[in-house]
Amino acid sequence: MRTTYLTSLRTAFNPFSRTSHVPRLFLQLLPVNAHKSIKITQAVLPRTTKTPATLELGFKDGRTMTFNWAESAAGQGVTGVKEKDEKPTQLADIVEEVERHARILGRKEELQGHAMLGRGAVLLLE
Amino acid sequence: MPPRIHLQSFARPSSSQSSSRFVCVQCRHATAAATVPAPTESQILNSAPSTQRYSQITPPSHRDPAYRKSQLLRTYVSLLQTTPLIILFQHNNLKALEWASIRRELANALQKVDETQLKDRGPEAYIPISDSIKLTVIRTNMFEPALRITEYYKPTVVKGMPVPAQPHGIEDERLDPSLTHTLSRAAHDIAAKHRNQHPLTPLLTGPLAVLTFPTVSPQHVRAALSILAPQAPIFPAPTRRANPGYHEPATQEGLKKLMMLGARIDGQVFDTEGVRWVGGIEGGIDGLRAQLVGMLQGFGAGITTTLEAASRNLWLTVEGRRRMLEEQSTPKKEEAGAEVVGGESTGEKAT
Repeated sequence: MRTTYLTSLRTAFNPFSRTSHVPRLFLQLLPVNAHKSIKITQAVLPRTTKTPATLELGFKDGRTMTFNWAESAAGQGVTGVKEKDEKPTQLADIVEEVERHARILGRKEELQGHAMLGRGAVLLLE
Repeated sequence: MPPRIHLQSFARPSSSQSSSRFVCVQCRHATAAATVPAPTESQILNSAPSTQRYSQITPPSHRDPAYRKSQLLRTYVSLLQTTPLIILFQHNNLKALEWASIRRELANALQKVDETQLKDRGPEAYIPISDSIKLTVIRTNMFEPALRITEYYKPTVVKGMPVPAQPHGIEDERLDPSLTHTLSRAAHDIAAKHRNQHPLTPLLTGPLAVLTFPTVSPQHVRAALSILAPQAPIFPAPTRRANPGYHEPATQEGLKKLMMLGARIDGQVFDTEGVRWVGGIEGGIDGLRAQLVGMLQGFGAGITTTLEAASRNLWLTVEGRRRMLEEQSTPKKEEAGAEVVGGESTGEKAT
């Protein structure tokens, strides 16, 4: 997972609930020196809390992604809210989103870099 | 992967190669140098129902004991049975240097607690435990069945006692009811019935490390939390001046990646707030006992007072009336006009 374009990560979950599964595994996917480049805030909620588990990601271009995992009424399984979908958000979905955004930002940077290079080359020729 | 444990050191029966047990490709290449020791004379002569047909060291197991996973399972069951206080942490990609720094700081803090306790209580009354408190990274997928076995497998068969003979014999040596060890079929069957039942199960995903204490000692918990999960005012982190090693970049970076999740104390499951409550108990376990005794004594006195109150009130009323009558009769004798007000007028009425 390319986390070079991540600037902030905020998460809160109740570890005694199955809803904490995805945020906890996402934290594990971060690189070793993540805390140096990403502002990470992690909170462990009490066991009896009714607050859904949350994960907020902030990127370099200002884009933010928010994910929630609320416990279902039956207490079994997890109902997550991801924009308009009713299926719970899986770790693979989040990873894919982060990768996709990283690719887009990477491409933008590359184009800007080439544009700079192009201008420089023109100046030299002149 | 081939088993790491050298099989020549174990004496395994040849039936371990039976086709009924699945063995993966790598394991099939691992051969066992197996010989069953010949039965002793006493075994031949006294044929009890539970004849020792297999080695004490490696009795028939549901899981092959040659694998690291099986030995880890035994280790974790032993850990869970011997450590009444376990705090669980999630560790996210800590470097070896960060681990070393954190363990060093933790050891120093716990050592200080031991020194204080030894000074206060003396070496006869106190056994130092800081050497036995360890922060271990665990294999979560083996810790989970170990927890199930510890919690739910309570064998009634006592080692050494004769087991009633099975009427039709047993078809497989692994089903022998006298086998009660961690890797036995009996343990596996019981544990398998209780999947996802323990409240600690949702915690057991992802990378976990456990801090194990050989006894429930709130003072040590407080010291450990001040290092690993500080929170003012009860668990303040050491200051830069007092402990410069704590504020090194390696330690600080490592601590950012450690997250306390919960604890298992005396079989009970606690969350982070519960752990902080246990750490905040003043005076340790002895202090808690003293508080309990004081409370019970006070409670006893209160009960006695309440029960006595009714009869005491009645006595007071009657006594007051008696005195009033006495005082009334004495002025009549003395022919004194002084009015005597019952000094003991009862404000309380008998309820």
